Amino acid sequence: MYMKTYKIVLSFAVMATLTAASCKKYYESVPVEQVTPDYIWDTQDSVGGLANNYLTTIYTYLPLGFNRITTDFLDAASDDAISSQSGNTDITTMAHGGITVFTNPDNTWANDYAGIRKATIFLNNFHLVPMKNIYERNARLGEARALRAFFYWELVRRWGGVPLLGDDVKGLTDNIELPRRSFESCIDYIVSECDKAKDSLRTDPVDDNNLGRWTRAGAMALKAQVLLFAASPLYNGGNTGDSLNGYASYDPNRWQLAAAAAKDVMNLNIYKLDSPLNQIFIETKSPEIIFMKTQSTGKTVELANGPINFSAGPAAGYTSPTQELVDAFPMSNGKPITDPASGYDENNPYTNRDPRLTATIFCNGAPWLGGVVETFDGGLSRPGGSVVQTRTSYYMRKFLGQYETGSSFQNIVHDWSYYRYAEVLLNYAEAQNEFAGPDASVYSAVESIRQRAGLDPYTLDPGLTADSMRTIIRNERRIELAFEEHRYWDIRRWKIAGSVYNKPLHGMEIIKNAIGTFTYAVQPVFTTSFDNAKMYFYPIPYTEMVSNNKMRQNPGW
Amino acid sequence: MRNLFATMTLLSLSFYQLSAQQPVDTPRTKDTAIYIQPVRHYLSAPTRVDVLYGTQNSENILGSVSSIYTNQLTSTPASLYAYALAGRLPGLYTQQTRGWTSTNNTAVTYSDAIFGQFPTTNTIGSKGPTDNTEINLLLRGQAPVTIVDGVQRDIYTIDPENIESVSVLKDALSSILLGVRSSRGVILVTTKKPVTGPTRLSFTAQTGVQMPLNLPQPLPAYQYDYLYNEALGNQGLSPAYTYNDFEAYRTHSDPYGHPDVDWFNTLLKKSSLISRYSLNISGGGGAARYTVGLGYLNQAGLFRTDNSNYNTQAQIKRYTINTNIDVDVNKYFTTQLQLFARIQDGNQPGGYTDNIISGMYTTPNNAYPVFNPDGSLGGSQAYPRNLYGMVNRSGYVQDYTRDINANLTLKYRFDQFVKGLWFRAQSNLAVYASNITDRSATAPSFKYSLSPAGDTSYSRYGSTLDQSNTFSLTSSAQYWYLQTALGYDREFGKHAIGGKIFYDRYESIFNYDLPATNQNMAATVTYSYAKKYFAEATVNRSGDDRYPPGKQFGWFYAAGLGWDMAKEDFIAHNNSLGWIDKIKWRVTYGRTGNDNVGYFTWRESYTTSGVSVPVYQFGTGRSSVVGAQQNVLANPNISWEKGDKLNAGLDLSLFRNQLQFTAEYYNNKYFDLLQVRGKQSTIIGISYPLENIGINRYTGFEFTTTYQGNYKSLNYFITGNLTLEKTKVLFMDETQRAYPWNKQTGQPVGMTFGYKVDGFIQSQQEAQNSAAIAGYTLQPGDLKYHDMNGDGVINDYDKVPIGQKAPLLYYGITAGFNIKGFDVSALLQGVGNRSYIVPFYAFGGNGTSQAYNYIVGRWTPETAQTATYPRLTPGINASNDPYIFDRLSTQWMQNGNYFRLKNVEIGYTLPTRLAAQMKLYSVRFFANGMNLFTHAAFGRVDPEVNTQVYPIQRVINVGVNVKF
Repeated sequence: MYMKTYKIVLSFAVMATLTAASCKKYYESVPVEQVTPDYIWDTQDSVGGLANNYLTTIYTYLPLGFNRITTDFLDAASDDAISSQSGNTDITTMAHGGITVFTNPDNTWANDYAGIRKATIFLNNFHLVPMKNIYERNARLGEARALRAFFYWELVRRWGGVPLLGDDVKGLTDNIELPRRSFESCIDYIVSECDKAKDSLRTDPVDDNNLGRWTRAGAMALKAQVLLFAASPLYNGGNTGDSLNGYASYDPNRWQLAAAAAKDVMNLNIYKLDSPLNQIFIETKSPEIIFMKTQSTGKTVELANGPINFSAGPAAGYTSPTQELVDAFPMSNGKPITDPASGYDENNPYTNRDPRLTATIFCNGAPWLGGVVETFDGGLSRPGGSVVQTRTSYYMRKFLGQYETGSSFQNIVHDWSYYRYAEVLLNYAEAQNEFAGPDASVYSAVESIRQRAGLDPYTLDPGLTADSMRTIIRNERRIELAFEEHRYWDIRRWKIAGSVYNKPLHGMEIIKNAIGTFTYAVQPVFTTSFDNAKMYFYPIPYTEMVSNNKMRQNPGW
Repeated sequence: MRNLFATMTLLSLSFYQLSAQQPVDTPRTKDTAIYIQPVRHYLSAPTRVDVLYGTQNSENILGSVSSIYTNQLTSTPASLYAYALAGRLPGLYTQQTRGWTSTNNTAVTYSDAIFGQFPTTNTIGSKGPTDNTEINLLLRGQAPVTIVDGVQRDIYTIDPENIESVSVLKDALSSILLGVRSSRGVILVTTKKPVTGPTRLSFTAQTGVQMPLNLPQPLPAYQYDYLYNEALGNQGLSPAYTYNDFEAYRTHSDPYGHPDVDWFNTLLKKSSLISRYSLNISGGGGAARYTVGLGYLNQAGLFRTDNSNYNTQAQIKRYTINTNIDVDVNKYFTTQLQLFARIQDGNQPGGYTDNIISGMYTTPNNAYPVFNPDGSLGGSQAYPRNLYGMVNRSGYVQDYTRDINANLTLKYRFDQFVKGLWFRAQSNLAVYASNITDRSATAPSFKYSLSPAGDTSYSRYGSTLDQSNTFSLTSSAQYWYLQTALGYDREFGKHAIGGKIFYDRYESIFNYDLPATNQNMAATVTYSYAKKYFAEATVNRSGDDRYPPGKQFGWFYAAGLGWDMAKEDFIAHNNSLGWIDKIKWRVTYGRTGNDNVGYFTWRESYTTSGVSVPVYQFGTGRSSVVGAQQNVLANPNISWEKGDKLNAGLDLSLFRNQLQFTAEYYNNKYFDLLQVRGKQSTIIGISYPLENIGINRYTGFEFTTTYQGNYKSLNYFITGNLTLEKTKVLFMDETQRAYPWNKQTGQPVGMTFGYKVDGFIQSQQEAQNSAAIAGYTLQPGDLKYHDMNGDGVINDYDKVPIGQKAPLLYYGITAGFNIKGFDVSALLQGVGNRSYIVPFYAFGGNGTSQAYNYIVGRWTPETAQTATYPRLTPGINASNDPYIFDRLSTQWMQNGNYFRLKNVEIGYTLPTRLAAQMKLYSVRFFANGMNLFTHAAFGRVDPEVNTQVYPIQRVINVGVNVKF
């Protein structure tokens, strides 16, 4: 009896021992592979590996303009294009003036502040990493600073003055109810950050390995764009008088600052106009592009925007450029189509036009994938029925690969350009024209762009007034920079949105006649809407308003 | 003494009869052999009921526990026992969400271990994979912890024949030994345990026919094109289809150019089969007893398949084995060894079942013909994957799940040293792995066109992908469980004293994760006096090592009191009250926990690899550089959610237990619920983490009544349960709300907010005078939203609670009888005070999708008064569309009340004498069915399965059970 009991006690003891043995730690108590801040800011790492990865993350917060608003280009909410989708898309909400405190498809607020936080964390901590290469070390700090300035600029041009955090990084228990700063302070801050970044950034042209990173010229081009905006009618003494949304009074010197900043980029003599126009957006390293979002090669841009129903490249055709944009392209002789001497033929509207038209827009009859783009009623790419198809008889051509004779889409470079030399020239021409009138340098800047475009003659009439030159520069900006997220902002900073919107946009209805000729009829396809009283600035998002007692809403919202 | 023996025999007889299908052991006397015809009882009321980690005399139960037994589980012909729970257990709310299991098709990669990832509502509290993807279970509003034979495992595929009981433990005291996991209640599954007796074999074979219910009714192509043109016209757009198109669709004169394919009829059969076989063997004598259960299930899907090379049908084959061996080493020492293993092989078409089903919902009838004139698959740019091709010409995908569970329990009674002292140890080791073999392919499709000159041409859409052959692990889990308990139970006269100290440790490793370890150290005392007064209390120091160091353990406790009034002299000794058997009052209260911490969310950490890591391309080579991203602020103070749970109950038993009644009231306050704070300005530049913020209250009543009676040889019963469940948000740190009707605080938990609809805009004038969404121009036929704040604009300020505010009500009534070998039972199950959003909209997402016959009721000037649906528009409508722009409204909120004839079973047992002549112990033929009849307040879709998933099914099943 007792023997048995002992056996049992013994077996329990064995079990207990086994249990105890199994309690030996086989695993760490926290996952050692989990990357914590001390891994990122590694005080032993002389090349700054993970810190560099951290910096890379900040770049991913840069917006990618291709079909950025869900499926559409931002400029599909300007007068340059409309969405091909007949239902309501985010971009039609915007074009209809449907932005509210609750709904804003272009609400980059959180994304921009996320980028700002990371850039500041990098600037505050990177000194912990003992980088040996001082040039490289400074360049990285410059990149973070330029990125931060960029994100602030993204905020300021949408909302006006915003809270500036400086070098603060807020934590879980910190009070983050910060007031908005004036437009002026924000511009000053961005400009000074650009200047600071410039000195430590890589010089241009950047080496092949670092292509896509901020360079000195990038920071300078950002500064030039910011100053051009700041000098523009919307902000330069022309706003509601609220210091959050602009300067109190007009100061012509702001145009001079803008011109000087653009001139600084030109004076580097490193960037130049590249041709043909179609090639620069798909080139591995274009001498024209100053700063861009580099992307892995692909074909998504073609697939989203190419004309539909090409079985060699079945594309979605999301973007329908308007007749208004098509009409903005002059004839190849440089004369606008409204000029009786231009030679424009309404029954043959796409011949002898500015070569940029073909490079920017697919019109009926354009070659594509070894075939022809048919946008007449019932044509291949405008077949009727319920599929998404062009609503204007045009598709967007810009940014797409050179597939006029190809048989299928390949993976090619598709970078999103933020600043390119053509814009710098136009920035300069506009600012200089406003400040000093159309002097020779203005002529030269505009004409060089028309020359590259292939206009013959490319020269402008001598003796233009500042007003006529302004009209020409604005039209050049529109057609040269179409779909590059300029038009949408330009009509705002010029304070002309009220007259550009609030009227129908047009498309072409093309009937193919029995004998193979075409009949063209311009049709209204879409009506935009804009409230002058408030829509020049976005409303501060509702969640920000209710989370921050010091937040002030923009006028009218 | 002899009397006593007889009584005991009778008792055990009735116990066996009542407990299960287990046949009555034929009593043998020395003189005569008598046959006793076993009487099949659908309901059981054993004297000992299963509780967490043990059994307890039913009279000692103080908490809220409800159980069902084998017979109630086996009558439901389905692939999971969870199907059988609907309507049977008070407090347990079930909703079927899909009609076919959802296979995990994604390979496990390292990146699955996402640091800082918080659990979602689906994974909350989960320690591993679950095999139940079809039935949503909510126990008093919380997703319960499932415990199978004493170990937490999300196993729902046990053969019902093998299950002794399924219980729900709803109050704090019943679940307190789970400590930090005790808040959500428990579903307790106990498999059959060995019983002393001669070797018995029980074999059941059954086959059922499954038929889909409530398939949608797509519009024929001619109606579709007519209405699409109308939609375009409503937007001022020119029509997309001509009269000739319309005629061609209507007359089917051009099946290739103008196809009209009803995808549901084309791809789905009217019915499919489900077959199940199970063999149970049990037996054993004094020293050793055993049971072995073998189960096989073969469930086929509904696809019409015609590939002669390989099987593309959706299919599940499952093999289960469950063995229990009890060995008494001596009269003090008993051991139990259980082995449970499961093999499940699934198959599905290479187009994936779920993708095909959702494709059938979105593809219009006129999208493309199934075949072109040359026999190739039809397609178009918008529909490059032919649905028929996805079913039949895209290869197949197989999945395998393997599961082994070993359970060893040792119990030693120290009665020879200290009477009533015992020790128990239990250890469980379980492994789980699921794999997938992907042999899918992609078949190209071709668009056929005929030029005016009569030339046919085919353009190819969709890529050709040859059959792949990849094998990957989709899920893996390992569990290790140890439990020890030292207890003492003894009666001193009328005083019964018990106590227990308890320790357990549950370690689970899921895929790549570090093990998660739960530990409980608990002490329990129980006391009862004369089976009249009862008291019980437990304290548990419990923790989870996923919490920050130093904050891993907390105190949890619960206590209960009971009083059986019927045992008091004034009733027990009152002859006129002899019909009262029990009036038991009981109450429990406790502090419980819910550990849903996620994976090391308290550490500030960075994602530097895997699919969610940001990547950027630098250099002329556009070579990718990975980023290092902090996704969310770390919350170093995170703790478990807590609950203060009160339960009060009354049990009545009258007329010699013929009539039984139970009422429960509960009042559970859950607090420190993980929520994101209200003031979450994004200026901080990073998402705020979950913090212990919210407070919700769940209160409810549950009633159960059972009456069992007999008239001559007719035995009959009726039992019903009814649950009322009310929830309220007490606090949720809302941001300041402009208007009182915007507030979620005070509303039921999970209330849907949306616009109130005042009918349709009827005239142009009304359109101009009505409040509209910014940027939208109202037209007649649009929904007229109620402008709550009267500012002339419809926006979030006008959103009001649109869901059901009344307490959720659900019930089940089971009735049945048996007479002369026949037995019949039926379950009626229903839900009241429920509402849900039916999220269908004409022409779907981008305006090219399928439309259904209900849009015929759309608003037109002619049908303005009778319209049931807003005017048609192509694609997304910025005002009416319910879900793209978050425009939920009362238009789409439907009454979710329904009741179903959920389950009916009819059986006939051959007379014992006849069976005996065949050398059989018993033979029973049966037929049963599931979802036989449904009445729903909103009948267009099924009240439970109403999204674009595999449909719910009606099942008619026949079978035979033979016992040797």
